[in-house]
Amino acid sequence: MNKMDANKPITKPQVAFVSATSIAAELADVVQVAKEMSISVKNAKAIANRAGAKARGFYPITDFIDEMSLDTMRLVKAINKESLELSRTAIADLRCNESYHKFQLARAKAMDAKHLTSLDQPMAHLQDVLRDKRAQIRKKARQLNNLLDEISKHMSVANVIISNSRIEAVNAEEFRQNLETIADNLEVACNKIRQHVKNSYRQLSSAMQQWS
Amino acid sequence: MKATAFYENKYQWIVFGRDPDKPKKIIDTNQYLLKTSDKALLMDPGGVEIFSSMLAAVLHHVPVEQITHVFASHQDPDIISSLSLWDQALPNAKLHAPWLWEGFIRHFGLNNIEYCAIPDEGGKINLDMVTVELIPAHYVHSSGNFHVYDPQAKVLMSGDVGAALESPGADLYVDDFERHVERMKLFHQRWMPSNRAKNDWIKRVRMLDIDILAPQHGRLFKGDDVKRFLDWFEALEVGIAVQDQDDD
Repeated sequence: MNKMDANKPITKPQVAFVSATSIAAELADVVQVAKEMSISVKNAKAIANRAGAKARGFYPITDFIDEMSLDTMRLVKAINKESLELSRTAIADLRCNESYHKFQLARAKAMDAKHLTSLDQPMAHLQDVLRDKRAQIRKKARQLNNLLDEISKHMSVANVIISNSRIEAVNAEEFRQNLETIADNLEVACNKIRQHVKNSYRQLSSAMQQWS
Repeated sequence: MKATAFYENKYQWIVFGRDPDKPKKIIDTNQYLLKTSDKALLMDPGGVEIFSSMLAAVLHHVPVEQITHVFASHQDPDIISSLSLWDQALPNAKLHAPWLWEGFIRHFGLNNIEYCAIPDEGGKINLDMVTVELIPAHYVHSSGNFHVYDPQAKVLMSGDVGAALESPGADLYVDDFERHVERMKLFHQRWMPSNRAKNDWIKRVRMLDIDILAPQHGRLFKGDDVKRFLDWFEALEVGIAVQDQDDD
């Protein structure tokens, strides 16, 4: 970042850190949905046990979805932490930017002051801090994006697995309807999570536009 | 912002205030600077809204690296809400402020400047050629409160004691004490909570040799007006928002 970037006023800086914290709020529901997925899968396992050989193909599917829902909860926890840190850094950046602006105002008002140059060092230091904060923001945003990507990938795989589970359900005869209902529930849960992740991408993109 | 040196000898006392760029709805404040040959003490540096004007005015008198001490009489926003900005402007400073308010004042933002907690009984700040005393002023008006007394210059920086609500551009000194009473009566009756604390402060201050009493708002008192003020303040009932039980 050059000098001009550090001087550039942020148009609506409050949006940036609010957007960052909104990601945590957006994903709060995902934990609940992932928990529901885990419960659905446990039900499916119980049904598959009763169905015995008729639902043998269901076991690896339920194991996979169970693991995936637990992993999704872990990812959401990590995203919460990252988005809070991103918001905190955004606030520090905002304060720094405002300080720099106030120093600039003081300098403009004191053009003929005897000791004007004594302000050069504190202002240069502030620019260094600003540069550092913006680098941190970019790094944290990348990390956050990667975590959201991971959840997205999980959901894509989950959709394939749920389709497979419907095929397996066909062979489960009298247990078919129960297993299909569980597959439906899992699909709904999966779609809900995808929507939350989509909204989170939007929040992150909106936050990052402030520093672009 | 207007800056006026009101004591000039081997060192200077300067008052800053009457800022024409100040947003209209915020109270006008006096900031003080004691400047020696290579050090300076900035007293009650003011709120965040006046920071740019204040810094610009200070730069006419002292380079920022020579401001080695900052003093906050108490925790109010008009006293010290600019702290996070001074924290980034002053590379070599210590903040002297009441111990009672440390956890609160730090909310304004303090990363670089060292917080030197003033104990209840007061303390001193040494600036080589002058040592100033930190005089306890608890409950006038804040529960942890100090004033700065310079025995050489005979100046008492008295925080909110002696403050008056003035129209913009008021003169530096009180010129007609009786007229001035009207500008400061309500301020003291309402902002000062305790008659006992007030009288305790007056008793302590009467023992000091004072030529100039310099409050944080309004005009400064000099000469006989200092004694006039102490007599007037002694006779004033404060804490008027709460009635005595006997009055019920």
